Amino acid sequence: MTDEPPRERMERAIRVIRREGRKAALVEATVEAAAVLVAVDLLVAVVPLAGVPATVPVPDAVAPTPALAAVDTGAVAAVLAGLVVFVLGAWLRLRRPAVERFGAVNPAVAEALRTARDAVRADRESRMAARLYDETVERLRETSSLGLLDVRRVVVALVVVAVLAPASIGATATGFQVTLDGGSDATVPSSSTDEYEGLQEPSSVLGESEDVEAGSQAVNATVQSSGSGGNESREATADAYQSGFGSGAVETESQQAGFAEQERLEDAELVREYNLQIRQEDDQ
Amino acid sequence: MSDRDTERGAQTDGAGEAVEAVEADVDELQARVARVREEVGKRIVGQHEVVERLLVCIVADGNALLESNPGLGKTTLVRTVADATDLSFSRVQNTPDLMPSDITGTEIIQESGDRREFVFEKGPIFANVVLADEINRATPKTQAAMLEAMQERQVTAAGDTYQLPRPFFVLATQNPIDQGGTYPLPEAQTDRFLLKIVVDYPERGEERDIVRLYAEGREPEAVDQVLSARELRAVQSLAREIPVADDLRDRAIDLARATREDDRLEFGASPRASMALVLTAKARAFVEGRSHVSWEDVAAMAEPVLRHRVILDFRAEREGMTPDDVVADLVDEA
Repeated sequence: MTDEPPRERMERAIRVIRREGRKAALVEATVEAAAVLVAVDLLVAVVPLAGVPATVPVPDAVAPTPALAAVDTGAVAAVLAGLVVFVLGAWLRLRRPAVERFGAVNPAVAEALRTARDAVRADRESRMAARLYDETVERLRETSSLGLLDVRRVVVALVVVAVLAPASIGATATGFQVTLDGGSDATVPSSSTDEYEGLQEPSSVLGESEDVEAGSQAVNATVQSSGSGGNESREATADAYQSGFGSGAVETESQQAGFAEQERLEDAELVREYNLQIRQEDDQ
Repeated sequence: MSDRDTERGAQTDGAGEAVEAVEADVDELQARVARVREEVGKRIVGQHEVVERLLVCIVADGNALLESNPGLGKTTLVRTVADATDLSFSRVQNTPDLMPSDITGTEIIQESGDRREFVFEKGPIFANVVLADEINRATPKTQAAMLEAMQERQVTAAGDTYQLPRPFFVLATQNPIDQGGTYPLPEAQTDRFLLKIVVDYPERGEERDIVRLYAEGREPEAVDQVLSARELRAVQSLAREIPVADDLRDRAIDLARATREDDRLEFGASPRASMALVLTAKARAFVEGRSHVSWEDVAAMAEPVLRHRVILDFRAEREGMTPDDVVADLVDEA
């Protein structure tokens, strides 16, 4: 038996109920936010968004290391979605008074608890009010705050997280993407299953082909060469050069393949391999 | 005025006398009220709802209008309630020639030795429990005198005011049939009754028990006195202290207000009905042994509180509806 006045005991009990209500609301909101975060992350990883940059630059003052100077756009979108769901979920749940929520899951004490809450707020200390406080506190011992937590909802959210999180990691690692061309979903894995893993699309290395204007000015060129059988020098016109190229003993330097500067070189080895192939073809 | 309830210690009754509050345990007082119900059950077969409502009316310190056909035990019921307590009981049989002074009392000349002086002779209304039988047979003037005394808890005669004893209840009966030569109570007068209790015919089995109890030679079982007037005053005080949740109070008020907006009712209940609804719900909670009001209490008291405070629209009346039907619908919607 405690000497604490009934009204203060009741106040303390109501504080505990409110705290439990906040805890339950935050747990539910957190789990739901995690589920949404993972789902959005997976969605952004699988469905490429046209016109959206792949990374979002992080200001130097914020980025802890140079490696984090740019953050994946999908991750940012997922975190933002999770944050919105958390704030919204917590606000919606905390908006309803904890005592009412507690009463809804413990109907046996609902009316007594609401009445006691209002009586405490009105500062009532009559004999009947004191009796109500004592009875309600006593009856609260037989109640549980577990009902405040929507266990089924939490479990469903956790299952969603458990399923989608590995899927999201897998999709990111393999580069799995779904395109939405032509109005029908087509799954095109970016990694080819062909055995050949060499160069397949030269344009990806050389860039787009460009139209070059033909020259309008004819210029005579003189090519001098020293033959093996004499000391006289021989001169040839441009026409002669064109007609005799490849059939004579004229030596020409091979030209390195060019590419548009704005195209990025993703694999220097591929470029090198392609150049070698061109040279071989020229030599033949 | 502060919400803090300070109603402890000494109280002053209507007669101006200071009476000490009974410091008996609340549980003990609730148990005694339950005993009163049991004692009444020794003489009254069935009619549990009527007995409960009558007790609620007494605990709420109100007056009740009992409506029933003759021969349903109204007088026995009221007398038994008085017997189960130590309350004084009087009965007034209303007739058209009954004068107000026949009820309230009158001044008579009293001789003592060689002196003659006017002395106020108290009428039958000076009792704790007054059964006013067939109140609608009294003239409006007599009705008004009784109802004024009932409302004011005092009687004024020849310039002097006399306080009625406390607790004080008027339990008036009226007969719904045989309306010839009657003066139906105006709405303003019926509004002064906290409850209108309708006593209906008993079930067949109950009627058999009534016949067996009263017509087979046995004396009805004696009723024990289980509640004193002082304890009853304490019960009334405690019942008023019972807390009610804000939302329940608002629902009760909305229920009373809804009677003013319902198309089936020509006139709705007054704010006095809202007060009566909350007060009787508190009293019922006490009688039921609780220390808080539940919606069940409000719903149970809605019909007896509202039925005599509303007037049906003639279209609803033509369709055979009763005030109870409308009130029941409003309770469902509340």
